[in-house]
Amino acid sequence: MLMSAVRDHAVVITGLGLISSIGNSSSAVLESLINLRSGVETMQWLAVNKSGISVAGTIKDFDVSGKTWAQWKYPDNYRIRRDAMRGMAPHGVYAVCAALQAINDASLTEEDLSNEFTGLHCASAGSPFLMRQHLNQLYEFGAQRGSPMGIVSTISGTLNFNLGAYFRIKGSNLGFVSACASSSHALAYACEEIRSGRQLRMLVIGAEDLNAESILPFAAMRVLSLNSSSSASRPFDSHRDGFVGTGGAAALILESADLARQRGVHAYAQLQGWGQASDGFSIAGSHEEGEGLARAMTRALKDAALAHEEIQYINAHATSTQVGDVSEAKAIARVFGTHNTPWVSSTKAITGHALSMAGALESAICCLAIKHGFIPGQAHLENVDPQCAHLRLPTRSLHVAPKHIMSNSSGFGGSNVSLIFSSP
Amino acid sequence: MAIAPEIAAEKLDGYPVEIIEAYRKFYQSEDPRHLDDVLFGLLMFLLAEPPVVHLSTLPDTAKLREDVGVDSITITEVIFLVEDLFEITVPNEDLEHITTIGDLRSYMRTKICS
Repeated sequence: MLMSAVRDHAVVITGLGLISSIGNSSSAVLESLINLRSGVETMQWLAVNKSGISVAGTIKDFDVSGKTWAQWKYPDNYRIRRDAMRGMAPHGVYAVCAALQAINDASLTEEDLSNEFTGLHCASAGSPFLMRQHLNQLYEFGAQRGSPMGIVSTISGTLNFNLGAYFRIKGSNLGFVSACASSSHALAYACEEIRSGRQLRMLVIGAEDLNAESILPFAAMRVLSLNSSSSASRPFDSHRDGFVGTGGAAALILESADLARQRGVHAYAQLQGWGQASDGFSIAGSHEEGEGLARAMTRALKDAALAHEEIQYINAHATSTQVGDVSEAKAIARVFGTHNTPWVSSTKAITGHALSMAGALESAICCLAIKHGFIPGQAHLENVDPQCAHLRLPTRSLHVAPKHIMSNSSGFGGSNVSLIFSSP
Repeated sequence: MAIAPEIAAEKLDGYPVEIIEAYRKFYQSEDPRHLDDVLFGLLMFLLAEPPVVHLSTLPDTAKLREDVGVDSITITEVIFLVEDLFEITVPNEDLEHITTIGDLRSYMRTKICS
């Protein structure tokens, strides 16, 4: 297809792929969302765990805990080329599986991705787990006796290095680094690539390792929950005590609406607009009044040409930390007022917090909500924090078909992104 | 000096058992044919499309890149594994001269067995 033949640069989502704590397929994730079934369970982080952190949103049916790729196991229904696994981090394995799902879901083949009008945007934090193995080798044996894959399998960017080669991407290929807003940025700029006509199709993937090296350092910031139950993550609840970590991968195929129409494929949703703004406040903490996030939401509404009253549901970033949830609640009040706000929930209550992958995971959840006509409930909410009481928090999933959904993400440095998904 | 077979088995966990067994046999016998089985077994395991015949049976003149499809990163990874197992160092200048199956076999036999 010639790029000049495309007239409608609206952006639609035509494929989803999910490897997550609440399911390793869109259908499994959908069922978990409707029933608010938690993916959080006891996690054996280290042989001797002195952190007091005992749960995570675990990834089932994979074992990527071995020190080298040759030990890793993944479900039999996938086949990952062994020569390609040599350069991957654990989350690279999740990502390939999620990407293969999304490609199939969009009625594409792997070959359809390898052309000049298809690009790749990724987000991950790299792999501290593998980095440690390689650095130990460096300290013990010197620089020359190390795995030649030590760099490409570990550093930030490992995901786009690997997937760009794996799927033989020939369009744009890059990674995004804004901590827990990373994959929302990846989606937003994928949207811009298609809007501008530079690309017609984008594969966007967020993925994270799930191991002690990626998650437990957050305990030093005192932002991880010490609760040991499957309901440890409880955004907006008075008794929340921090987030629960998770990993996995979420993949989305974005295409120009014209291309999707010509291919005759169903779209889950349109990515109608987005906005971003920085707090300019703290290296790690959210702005106490939610200033940056409020600006990001306002800009997203303007970009999507929507009034705030038209948003029916906000998939909140709320990670279940004391400061962050209140900050977002205040940001929502700034934009939507305190009466009759949209429905709000944070699906991190059942998924855990997927860090840089969170935006992609929650965008996929928004797409499922639009396609299947429901609003995910706010799990584990027993006593609403009085500072969040103005939010309309559904304690169970609702059979309400939202036309417009907003998804928020916030990352270190006060980086905020809001995406708006609409029924196609 | 080759590391003990049980330590090698840990390092090679996930690799084909034939390689681990060949390593053990070489460690016990120092028979270079078992070294070939380790070396070419590793290489076959790392290749995207290994040849249908075992690499050790290919003629010495077979070119690693053109005939077998071994790219530079793959040969570097095999060298790393061999360095780790046999506690040797392969200098960069030596690597440049390893271009065929025979080069690889004779270099490693000389380096390790001597």
